Amino acid sequence: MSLQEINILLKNYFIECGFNYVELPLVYDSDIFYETSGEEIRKKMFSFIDETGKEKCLRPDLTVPTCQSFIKNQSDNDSAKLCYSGPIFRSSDSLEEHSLELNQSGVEIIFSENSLKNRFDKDVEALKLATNTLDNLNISKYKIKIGSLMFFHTFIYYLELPIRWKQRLLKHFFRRSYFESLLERINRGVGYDDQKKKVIMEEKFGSDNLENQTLIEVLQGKEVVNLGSRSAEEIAERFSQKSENIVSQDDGRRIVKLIRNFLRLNGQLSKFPELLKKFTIDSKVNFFDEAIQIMEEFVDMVSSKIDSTNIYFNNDFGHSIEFYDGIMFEIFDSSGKHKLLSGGRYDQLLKSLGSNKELSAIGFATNNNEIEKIL
Amino acid sequence: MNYKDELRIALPSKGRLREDMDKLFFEKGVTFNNSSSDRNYIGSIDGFSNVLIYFLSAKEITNRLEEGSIHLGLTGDDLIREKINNFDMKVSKELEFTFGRARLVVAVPDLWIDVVTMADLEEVSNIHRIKYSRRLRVATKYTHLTNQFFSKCGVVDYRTVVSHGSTESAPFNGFSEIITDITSTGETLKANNLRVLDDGLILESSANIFKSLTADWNKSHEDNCQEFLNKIA
Repeated sequence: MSLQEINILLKNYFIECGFNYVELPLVYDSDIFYETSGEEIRKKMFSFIDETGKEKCLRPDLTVPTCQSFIKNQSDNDSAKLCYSGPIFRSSDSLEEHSLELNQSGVEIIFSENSLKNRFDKDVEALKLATNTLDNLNISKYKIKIGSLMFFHTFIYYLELPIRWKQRLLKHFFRRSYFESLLERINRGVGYDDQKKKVIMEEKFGSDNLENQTLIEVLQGKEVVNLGSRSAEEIAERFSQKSENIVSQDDGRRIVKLIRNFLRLNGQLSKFPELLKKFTIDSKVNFFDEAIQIMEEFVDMVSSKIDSTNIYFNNDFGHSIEFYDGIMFEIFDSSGKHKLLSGGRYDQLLKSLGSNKELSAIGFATNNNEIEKIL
Repeated sequence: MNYKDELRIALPSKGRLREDMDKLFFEKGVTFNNSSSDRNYIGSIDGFSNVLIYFLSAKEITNRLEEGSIHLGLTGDDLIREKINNFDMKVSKELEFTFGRARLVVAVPDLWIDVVTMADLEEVSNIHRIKYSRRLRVATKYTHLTNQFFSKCGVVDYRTVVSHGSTESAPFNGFSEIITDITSTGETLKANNLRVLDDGLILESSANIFKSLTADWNKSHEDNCQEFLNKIA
């Protein structure tokens, strides 16, 4: 089957399944991708300057354009089932000159959390549709890899770390090397050097011991333009927070070890809850029972809809695109060499694109270039 | 004389870089021989029969080194690393000078007393993004180097906005929240109420002679090149 045929076949399949096809432009304002996917996407994008001086690009992704088109026509809608099919354009990091037109077909399910009977309804629906899609292509042997940022989030949330550090760990989970350097820092103990704080106050305001309120007043007394985009309160508050919530080196080491052990957990989905229980007993963790119950619920729901023998859950699994924030999954062919499809939950994206309601979303996209190779 | 055998060297045509270079060349006894006047953009060097000198802007010299229409060029590390992708496969540094020194740095409003390191910036940009649903803007002429450095430091909730001049005023006129910029003494930044972060040094740059690896090189070019480098080293 040619790429073109796969694109059309999948598009028609999604329409048959009740999805609305969205016709999307090839060229976009680059801005929208920098805002949603971060600067990391810049080096992968094919961009150019148009005659008005604005930066445009060939679409490097289809999730953002699809969600954007939903928001433009949103009015009162708080749910939608959308699909797309066609090329995206990304250059590769390698020096070889094959720059890339990748073909994707995908769906986005947009919904309001309040409308769900079970919290995993849509996750399971998306997973089920993903496997059906492959079945429809007569691909019957594959491996499904699942991870969940939410699950990691719950775990981190209970650790005895300052909230700032929890946020940091979550945020950089996917940036492997930086995440490692964060763990290294916690290993050494974290907290703000009090001495440095005094030096700054002395240098700027001639006194090394200002209370928070006084600090705000002093900052407000400065020409307001010199604060730039931040307020005096904001600066003073964060300044004081920095010397609070210190984690000792011993505690730091213990916490890092716990995080590493947690991330090592992976195995067949059906056996994963048992693995977790063993982990909590071995590590003497007493805060995780509820999360394990939720995991059991998830496993039951998935197993009732999909043959779960080839599903693996891995705590240390993630995507490199920034906007995913819940369940994530990838499906490989039986050899494990070809990634056929990937997707996940992204609850923050719609808001950052300007949605007037709190809406959640989950979606996936097939990798048609890879599918072509194995058909 | 075969044009193809001539070693083509590009040197800065104006500004501080030109002045410092002229001083050095004077000390080394290198004199240019411009066919008509000082304003001529093509010349030669006394005593070198097979060398052509082009006077161009540092930016243009960088472009031409990458493209390979010159053999040698005098320009700064900052431009080479900013403008040329995979620069080390396209140019090599042959000679480093003590002039043209500059540092590319990350600077924030001085009154942001809670922001001292890149780790602070990582956190503050995240707070900014959550609060405004927008990324922290970094005004710069050097988007490529800035992106590389920020990514290494784990700062991700930002975006660069290109500034072509007076970058130091950007945080105070609504164009950006912070900047990265070239500074030699730091005085301009200070005078504009900006402060360089403790670990905010992106790059130390100086003026150098670079060799274009994409240009055509023959034996005569190589010989001339060596002779020229010996003369000014």
